[in-house]
Amino acid sequence: MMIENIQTALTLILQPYVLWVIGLAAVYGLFVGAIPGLTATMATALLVPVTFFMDPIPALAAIVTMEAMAIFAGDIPGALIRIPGTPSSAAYVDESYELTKKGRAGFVLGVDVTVAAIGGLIGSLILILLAPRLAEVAMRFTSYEYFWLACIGLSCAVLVSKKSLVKGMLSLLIGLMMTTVGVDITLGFPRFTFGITDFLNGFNFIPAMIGMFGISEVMRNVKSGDLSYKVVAAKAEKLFGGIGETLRRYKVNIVRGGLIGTFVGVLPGAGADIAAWICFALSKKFSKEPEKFGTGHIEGIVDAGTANNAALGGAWVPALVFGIPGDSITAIVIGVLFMKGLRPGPMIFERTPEILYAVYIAFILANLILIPFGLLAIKAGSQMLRVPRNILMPAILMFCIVGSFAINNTAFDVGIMLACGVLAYFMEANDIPVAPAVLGLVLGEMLEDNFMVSMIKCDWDLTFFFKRPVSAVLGVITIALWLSPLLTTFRQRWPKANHLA
Amino acid sequence: MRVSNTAIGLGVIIFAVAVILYARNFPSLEQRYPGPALFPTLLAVLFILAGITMVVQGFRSGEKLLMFDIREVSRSGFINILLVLATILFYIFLADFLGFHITSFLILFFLMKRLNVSTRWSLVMSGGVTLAIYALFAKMLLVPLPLGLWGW
Repeated sequence: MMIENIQTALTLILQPYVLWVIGLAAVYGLFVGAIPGLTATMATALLVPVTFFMDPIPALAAIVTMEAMAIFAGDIPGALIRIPGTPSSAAYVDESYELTKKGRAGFVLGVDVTVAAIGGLIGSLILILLAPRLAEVAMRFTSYEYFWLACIGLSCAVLVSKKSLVKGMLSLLIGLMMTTVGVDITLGFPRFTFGITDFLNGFNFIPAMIGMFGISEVMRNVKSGDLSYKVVAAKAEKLFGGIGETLRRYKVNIVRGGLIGTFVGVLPGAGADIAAWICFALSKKFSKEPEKFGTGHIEGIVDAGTANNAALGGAWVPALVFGIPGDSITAIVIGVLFMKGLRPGPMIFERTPEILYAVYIAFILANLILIPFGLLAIKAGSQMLRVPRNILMPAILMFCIVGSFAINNTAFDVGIMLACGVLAYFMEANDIPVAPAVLGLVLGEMLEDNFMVSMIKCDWDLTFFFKRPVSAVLGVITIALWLSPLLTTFRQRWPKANHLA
Repeated sequence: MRVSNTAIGLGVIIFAVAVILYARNFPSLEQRYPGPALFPTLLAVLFILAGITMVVQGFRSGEKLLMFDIREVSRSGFINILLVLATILFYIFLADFLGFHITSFLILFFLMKRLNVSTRWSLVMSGGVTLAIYALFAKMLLVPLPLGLWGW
């Protein structure tokens, strides 16, 4: 059965058309990742209008490949101009740049690409091993369990917000509120449509994403007058010089970064960037030579560079098994799958296993081709950074407009994109994170539908949410999560625990 | 644009109260169980809680209570942002009359000039990007882009 599925998936992936798509997605991912100000999430949002018109397998393969490439490529400008290409590389930008100043840009980027591929493979393997086990458990879930799962996912998204819990919660509420627009599930009553027929089906997800990640990014980019960088060319030293030794020396770091990175990826709302920060901090904490950190030491880069690529695979675990995204990229993917009538969840393990296996294979393939493609990108690194942003930004803007229009062929969607872009720009400018809003937008319907269905099933008896054993456990976890901020505030007043905060 | 926590909190509370008032007109289920209004009202209550927290935090931190600060953006940067938004509106309202090619070219050329690209490059790149997007969406993905009054 399994071998059969792998064979089917392989024949579906190894077609010239799909391979072409993967190749193009790889180049696109490397380019977007390497340009500061263009993130992997934005790349996904911009890719969606194109993949929307494809079959699910090439579309998913394109996104998987693109994200692996983009997260690695974010390291390139980090090393060359000390600006992270994507937020996932921010944790170790200074460390990389210190090495560049010592004339070792080639070495640091060579290590980056190798550990990124290894981390990506670790994440993929865990995804492949863990997802089917979890899916067996998820098979027995009913609307009660799904309600709690959605609650857990949303709570995690708020709890990981770095700066302020209340701002994370506000962001989440904004996303959830957006899902109440349109026809409601119980009576089919049109809510908050104000007589506009375009609103009956709710907020169109793709234009909203393009606005939140594309338009807001364009706005941030044009706001600074200077749109060019001073570029250091990577020294043409041998790229793989000293890498083998580094890998052997820090093999524990690689495994640790891979495992922790994947785990952080699994947590809803926490993605590659948080994985990198955590692993960089842990690396310093457990290092035998912590005093070298900050002076151009490769150890932390190994940990964090492995972790951010490993997180990508982790994020797909809850996405495929429960339909709960692990990060903003998988949130967009789930939104798109919904629109195509594919409901992620345990059922796809039974009904369309070939799609699942295709995602697995795409992950492995993407991380294998990451090394050759990545090496080319390193060579072209300084050229890519010379692409003038004052030409790029108007072009991206036009692409956003047409991409939003393309899904339903209406100018109304372009308006949605505009509104969401302004909203996201305002949120970011005031330290309100955008990721919880995206999760809310994806999970809001699941949350409300499962709650209403459960309530009507049990005739408004709330105790039913705790009557089934699994549901009770999930409910207790949810409530524990809600209480955890109170606990931390309590502990923060306890001086001893302060160093952990 | 940076806005004080207090101002955001107040705005959130006003929004939430409006939602609650509006949702009261939604129909309810049989036996008067709440239906379509339940979820929005619940969210609005949480909005109000978050809003109150932000107002309290604003008071405690001693920040200027009603602050709307746009100084972190330079004047020309702010104009750039407004122009980006204006071009999107331009597309929404005029693409159907002018057609995709003209609208796209005008938007791109105008923004590139504004961002200090030379006239010659602006002309070349605006034309190039317009044709590339047209080829991708209209030719490959078969999206019916606006034709305009002249039919192209």
